[in-house]
Amino acid sequence: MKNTQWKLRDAILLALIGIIFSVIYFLMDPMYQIISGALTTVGLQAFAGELTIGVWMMAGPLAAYVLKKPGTALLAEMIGAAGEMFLGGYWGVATLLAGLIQGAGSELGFTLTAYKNWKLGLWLSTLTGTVVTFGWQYLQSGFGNYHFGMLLLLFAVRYLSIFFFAGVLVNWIEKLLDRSKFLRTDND
Amino acid sequence: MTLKVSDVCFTYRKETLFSDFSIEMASGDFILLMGPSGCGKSTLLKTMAGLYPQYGGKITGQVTIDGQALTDIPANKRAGLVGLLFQNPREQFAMPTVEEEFIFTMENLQLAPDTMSNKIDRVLTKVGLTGFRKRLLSELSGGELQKVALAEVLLTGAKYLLLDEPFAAIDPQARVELQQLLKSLANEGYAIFVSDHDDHGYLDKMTAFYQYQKQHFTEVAQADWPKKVASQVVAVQKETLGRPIFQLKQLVLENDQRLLIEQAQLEMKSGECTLITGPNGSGKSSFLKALARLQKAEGQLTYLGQDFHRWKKKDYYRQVTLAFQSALDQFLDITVSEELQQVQKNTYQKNYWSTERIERSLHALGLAGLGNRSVYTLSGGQQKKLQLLLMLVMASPVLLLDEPFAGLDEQSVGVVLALLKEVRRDLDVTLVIVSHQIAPLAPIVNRHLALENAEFVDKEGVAV
Amino acid sequence: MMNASQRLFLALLLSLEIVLTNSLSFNVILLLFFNGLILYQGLPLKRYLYCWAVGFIPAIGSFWSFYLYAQGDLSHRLHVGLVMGSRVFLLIFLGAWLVNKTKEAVLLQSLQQNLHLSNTFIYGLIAALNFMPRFKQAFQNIQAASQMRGVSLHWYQPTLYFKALIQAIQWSESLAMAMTAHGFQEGAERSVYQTYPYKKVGFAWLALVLILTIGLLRLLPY
Ligand SMILES: Nc1ncnc2c1ncn2[C@@H]1O[C@H](COP(=O)(O)OP(=O)(O)OP(=O)(O)O)[C@@H](O)[C@H]1O
Ligand SMILES: Nc1ncnc2c1ncn2[C@@H]1O[C@H](COP(=O)(O)OP(=O)(O)OP(=O)(O)O)[C@@H](O)[C@H]1O
Ligand SMILES: [Mg+2]
Ligand SMILES: [Mg+2]
Repeated sequence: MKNTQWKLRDAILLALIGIIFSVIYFLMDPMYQIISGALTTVGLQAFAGELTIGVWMMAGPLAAYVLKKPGTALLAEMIGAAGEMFLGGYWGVATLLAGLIQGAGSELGFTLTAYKNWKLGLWLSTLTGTVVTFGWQYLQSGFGNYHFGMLLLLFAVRYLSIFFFAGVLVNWIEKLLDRSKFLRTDND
Repeated sequence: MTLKVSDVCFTYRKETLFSDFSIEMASGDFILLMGPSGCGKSTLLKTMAGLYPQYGGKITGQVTIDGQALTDIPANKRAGLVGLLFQNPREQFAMPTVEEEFIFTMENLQLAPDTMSNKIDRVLTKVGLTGFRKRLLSELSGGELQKVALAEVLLTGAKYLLLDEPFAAIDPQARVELQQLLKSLANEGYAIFVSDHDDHGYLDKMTAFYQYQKQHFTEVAQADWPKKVASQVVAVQKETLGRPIFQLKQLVLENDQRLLIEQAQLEMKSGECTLITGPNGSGKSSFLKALARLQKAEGQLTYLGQDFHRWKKKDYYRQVTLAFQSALDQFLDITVSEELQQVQKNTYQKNYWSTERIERSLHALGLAGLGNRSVYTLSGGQQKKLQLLLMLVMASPVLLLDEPFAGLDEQSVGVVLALLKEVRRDLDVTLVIVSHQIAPLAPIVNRHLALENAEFVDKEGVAV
Repeated sequence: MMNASQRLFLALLLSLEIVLTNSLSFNVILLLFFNGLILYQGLPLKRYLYCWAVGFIPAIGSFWSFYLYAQGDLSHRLHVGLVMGSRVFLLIFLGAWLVNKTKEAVLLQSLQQNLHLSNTFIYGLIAALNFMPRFKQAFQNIQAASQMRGVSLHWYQPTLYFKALIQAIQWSESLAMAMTAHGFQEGAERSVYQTYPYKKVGFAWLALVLILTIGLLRLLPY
């Protein structure tokens, strides 16, 4: 747990990751719109969000995995959200709240390992991320109005999306990074 | 009042870069440091500025300023004592404009806010950049950026100035000016320590000379200093060459409404080796980027008789490739051998680039045995050499090179040049080279375009 | 009337209220208000129309989805659909109001000064933001570089993200070193050239809006 002090370099890297993803998030908005539009025609608009949510949750786990510090996932996700808002993302201020919830959800996974096992933390974070964001969506988008079967399906789709984007893809990127030996570690 | 380095030995990832380095810098000194790429010049300068071991590496020995160990001084005090100009001029500023960047520095040093404005004007005048106060740093040329960096260091009041290859991206005129400025600073009481690959212009100014030999930076006695060579003009060897490939008419190149190039007509023929020179910020890199379609340009621009925009990007980039100024941008894989395998698989000259030939070139460039190294851990010079080799192996019909020698030592320049020559002869590759280091290129170019007053002028000779 | 931090607080406060309540009339009143406000403040017409355009599909989609699949009778589903649809637009315009005329760096510096946030994070963010324009260039370069070597990179391949991350790490390292060399010390005192103090009247506005909106929500349950 000596790794809790924030150095300037880490803060910049955190910010850069957050901001890069804010651009990706922003670019995903029209993508979401298309998917959403397509699904709306068959009345399944609710699934658009569930399918794509994983993309919006990549910054947190990636930053946490790279920087290996408590609080990283939450911060990265919030920066990503704020950047998306400033770029003109159409969720407006709600993005900030979403970022907070999503970041907290991912962060929880790493917290559960007491910030000791980052790999396990990554996989846990996909699970906690799903649960927390689903809970929030339940409140915010009035999911309570849906039937139980529908809810279950929504949850499953959300988990798959988060598992792939915020889990598998993040892990993959991280593997490349490890191999490049580009990131200075403290034990050189 | 000295900056004293005693018996410093630097180890990075269990590899010792240099050892037993000692030096004393005092007011009035003007010291030059030379050494091949990757020997640790940048590392040494960063150590002397106190950035290492803060940012990694293991150091034995000590660096002290006026008797106080550098590692005991916090960064905001240290900056007022010793200033560093980084090798890459684009990566040393945190703020968007010159003014904001300077304010950031002065805030760090806790200077009084009401004195800041005057100070900014004063240092800008000193380096000859009056009127640059509100300029965006992202829109300055490499040479202008180095001057800004120098001005910023002058703001802090630091008396020990460390400069890491400050002239690598600077035109000869600006180089002379800046060297004179540095000398006058030394006379004013600053102590200057410069690393460079080129001793041009230092000989009558420097007070000490260090060179890298066998893992050590050692002082060279004045009797053994390099001799001054007289400059001369080498005539360009014109050849009758193939058909025109680039045909540019009414070319207009602008950067944020500032006109860079306005050219009624320009033709480039296949097989030519064109050298482009011009002052800093005149638009040479921009021109290459325009040819590589990475920057907007107006006019009637055709390649092989077909309009630029009619070419599909993918097909175009099989014809025309650009060796970027920053080598890292060129890499796609991770280790040196993966990179080489990738180009070997995709090269347009499969028969020519046999594994054997690649091995041989690798040896010549001093990159042998680095196969498993991640390209991201090579030194700047090693990366540059690898990058050039990769582009030569790709061997597209047209190869654009932006400052291919920046940061390379003399021997490496020689090897790269020999390779360029060989590939050009064997594969008939058309070369367009932007470079400030023209002397080594003089024997191989057969066209010299000088960018003067926003226009290319064909020159008969190359001054070396 | 308010400084940048206060505007952010107001936006956060309102969005919480909007998200946690289900009043269509409240949404509509606020929507009209913010539309008027940003037009009055001189938001370019193109940007204004863009806000409506981007909200269109998600708003309709949201409405439709709830209208069809929500629980309860028809009138209830209609109400939920309309609330959710108008919410999308409202949040967009609230965001547009906040972002219009507030530079990121100013917001960050004012937050730092007002809330005494860590300079390390704030300047890390500012430095990172200033590097963003170069990212576009870097991104173009990555794509061109790959095509020059006979391959194309696609968005679903990790290589692209990896290269971006490499770039980010490199910049963070060199930028941090440069800032340190220019005297930035984590946690140290700095002098301040430009200050962004809270405006007193800003807090009055915040309180007023809070009281007004709570009152409105009581009066307008539908
Ligand atoms: N991030 C890094 N990771 C691992 N090794 C590195 C890193 N940066 C530099 N090195 C190694 O340290 C050595 C010295 O690098 P340095 O940049 O100090 O050399 P240099 O003399 O300044 O070279 P150049 O003339 O090319 O700038 C190189 O051999 C390089 O392999
Ligand atoms: N990314 C950019 N955005 C806007 N303007 C730029 C950018 N890069 C460079 N410029 C401006 O365009 C002009 C030409 O820059 P360019 O890099 O082409 O010059 P150059 O001739 O290659 O100079 P140098 O010899 O210093 O490399 C410069 O004056 C610079 O101010
Ligand atoms: Mg160097
Ligand atoms: Mg250039």
